[in-house]
Amino acid sequence: MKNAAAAAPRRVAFVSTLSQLPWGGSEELWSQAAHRLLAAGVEVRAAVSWHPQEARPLRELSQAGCPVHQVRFGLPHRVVGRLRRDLRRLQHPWLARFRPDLLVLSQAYHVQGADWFADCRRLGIPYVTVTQAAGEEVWPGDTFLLPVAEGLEAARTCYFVAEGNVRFVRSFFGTPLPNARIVRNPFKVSYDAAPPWPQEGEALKLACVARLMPGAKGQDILFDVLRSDKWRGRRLEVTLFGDGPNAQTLARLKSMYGLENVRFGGVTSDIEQVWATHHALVLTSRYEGLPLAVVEAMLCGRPCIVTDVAGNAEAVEDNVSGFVAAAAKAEFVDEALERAWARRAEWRQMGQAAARCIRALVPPDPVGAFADDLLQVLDRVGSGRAAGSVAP
Amino acid sequence: MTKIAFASTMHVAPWGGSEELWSQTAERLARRGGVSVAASVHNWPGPIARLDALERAGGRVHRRRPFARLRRLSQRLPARLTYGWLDAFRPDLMVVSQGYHTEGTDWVHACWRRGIRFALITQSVGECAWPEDGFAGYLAGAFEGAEACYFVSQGNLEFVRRQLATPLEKARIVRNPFNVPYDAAPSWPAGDEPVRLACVGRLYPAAKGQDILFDVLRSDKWRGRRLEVTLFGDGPNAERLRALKEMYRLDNVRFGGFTSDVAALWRDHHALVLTSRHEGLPLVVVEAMLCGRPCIVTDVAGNTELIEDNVSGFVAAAPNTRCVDEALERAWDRRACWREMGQAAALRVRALVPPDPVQVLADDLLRLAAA
Repeated sequence: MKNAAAAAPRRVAFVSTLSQLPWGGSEELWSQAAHRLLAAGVEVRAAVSWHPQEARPLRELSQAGCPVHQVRFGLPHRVVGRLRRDLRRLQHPWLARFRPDLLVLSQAYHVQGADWFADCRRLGIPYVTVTQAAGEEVWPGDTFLLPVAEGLEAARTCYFVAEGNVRFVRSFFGTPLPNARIVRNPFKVSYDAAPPWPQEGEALKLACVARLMPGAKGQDILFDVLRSDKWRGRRLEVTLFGDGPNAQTLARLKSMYGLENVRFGGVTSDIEQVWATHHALVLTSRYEGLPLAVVEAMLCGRPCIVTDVAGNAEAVEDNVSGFVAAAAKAEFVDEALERAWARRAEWRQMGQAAARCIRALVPPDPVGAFADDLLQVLDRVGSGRAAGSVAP
Repeated sequence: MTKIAFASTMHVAPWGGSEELWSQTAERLARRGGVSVAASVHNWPGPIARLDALERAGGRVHRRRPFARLRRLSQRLPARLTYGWLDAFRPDLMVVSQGYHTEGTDWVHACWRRGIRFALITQSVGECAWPEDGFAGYLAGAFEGAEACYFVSQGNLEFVRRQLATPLEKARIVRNPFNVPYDAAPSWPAGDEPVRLACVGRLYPAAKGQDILFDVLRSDKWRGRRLEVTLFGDGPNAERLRALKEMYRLDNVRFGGFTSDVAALWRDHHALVLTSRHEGLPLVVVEAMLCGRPCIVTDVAGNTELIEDNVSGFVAAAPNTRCVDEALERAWDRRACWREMGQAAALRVRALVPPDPVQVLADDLLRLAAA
């Protein structure tokens, strides 16, 4: 890492707003970047929401020398929080003790982090944000939104994972966010992955790789499309890989609709193996950042059938590297799937186009690129301090 | 004496549109001889006209004390604090009005424990927040265990069927009462230009999608046209929408505040525009159609059950910028036909919505209570 030898300042805090889940795809970027900064000699600490199950990557971070602070938002804290709902007091004494030179706030969802913004302002700590997802249906009232909007405006850099998210967040908060930048999340296939094309056997095989959580991933929309006689009569199989809070509901929906061409493939960590046996990805999300499932399928040379939400249409070019449904609704998914079906003989070729397109969009080492960027921000913060300027 | 109880789950917005149906029905039943009515509502600060009217009609209104919400967190608090009135009243039928389709299970549970038969009224449904499996199963049981579950649009009903993976054979459609006379016919606005659209809805883009409309209107194409949009209503995101109007410099957008005289509003506006992300069956669409105005809407929930695309209005296929721009473009092209389309809208809505939806529900509930 090129800035490894630069002089102080050298303290970085990583904060994640993920709550209720012990871990998620949104946590990979910041946690892996923390490892890189540690390796570059930076003093790193992290703060995450407390969860009864500590995720393994968090233990690994601690073992690597990054103490992980657990922020408890249990019932008593919530009640106390209600009583002093205002953000005039210090919310996180941990931050005052550590006094980092830079704070990296990873927002699992774009409306989170007002408490951290307020503390950073109070303590004069510069910060950057990483927004991992922005959904359109959660819209808190103005009094709640304003501190978040101001917090984003005051960030050194606001990183987003998709252009679509930037556009939406701009209009959501009514703020131009001139300091927005795109970062990419790390992926779990090798950058030069090229699984062999599956044998053209009996049926075409689609894989839907996503948490079993239709509120976000829209598997119910896909089911609604597949239950028509037209699709029942075609030799097409869809396997859902993943687990999630609505696994049983989806299983019941499959049997209610009598969908014999849909299977549940469980959790798999070997994505390249999935693509060695499947011809294309189908992902009918209601909202997204830039889905890792799409990046990985494209890296593996598979066309993607996706809905036009957030970053999907930035990654997938309609009719070139895949098929884009205009919105997350059955009629549009049916239309896109129909086009895909009509051109199924070209999928292999489209998959090759996908493999090229995605490599132009996503660098081989997104974490390294992000960590380098953070080190540069850290240097600027340092030189600003040296010149006597005051942090925001 | 037939006894019917109502409980409304609404506790966030002050007395919203979702509260009209059950409260007017309760009042209607209370006025009728031989029916005794009681209702449990959130502990609203200050007087609420509908609740006062219900009490004047002889209904009993129980405002839930703050500990009712605490009780949800701790089942150890004595049940009589929340359900004491229910035990005393022992209704033949309990009607739970859900502001949102995942609410009200505490009331269902209370009914089950007491062997009280119940019906559900679902006023709105959103697609993004799914109850997790355990709760979804419980909800499915609640809907299936109800004597009847009423939905305000076919679209809502079909989505809940899918989300809970349950057939809901006892579901039926009810209509909400409206705030214009059934024979309203406000005169067509004088002067065709500028074209004046009214967007009537809470200033709450998560549901009503005003931000999508703004995003469409900021293009050069729409700036160059003699078109004005006035937003009527108030809501939790009024300030953010004003900030967004400033950021986009939308000179053709105005904020008209809250208005209660809907028929008067339509004397000055040519059409309704409503780019909702989710809905039940929007009252503002029903009212605009009753007043003979075409509607430009998104294809969510019940909108297309009312509006036939290119006949009584214009339907955007989805709540996103591209689709709304496309529908608004078609509307603009055919603006000379709006008056005629408004007449088609006036006819159609009267075929779908009865003159007195409250009476329809009241009769249905009496039948259920007697069964």
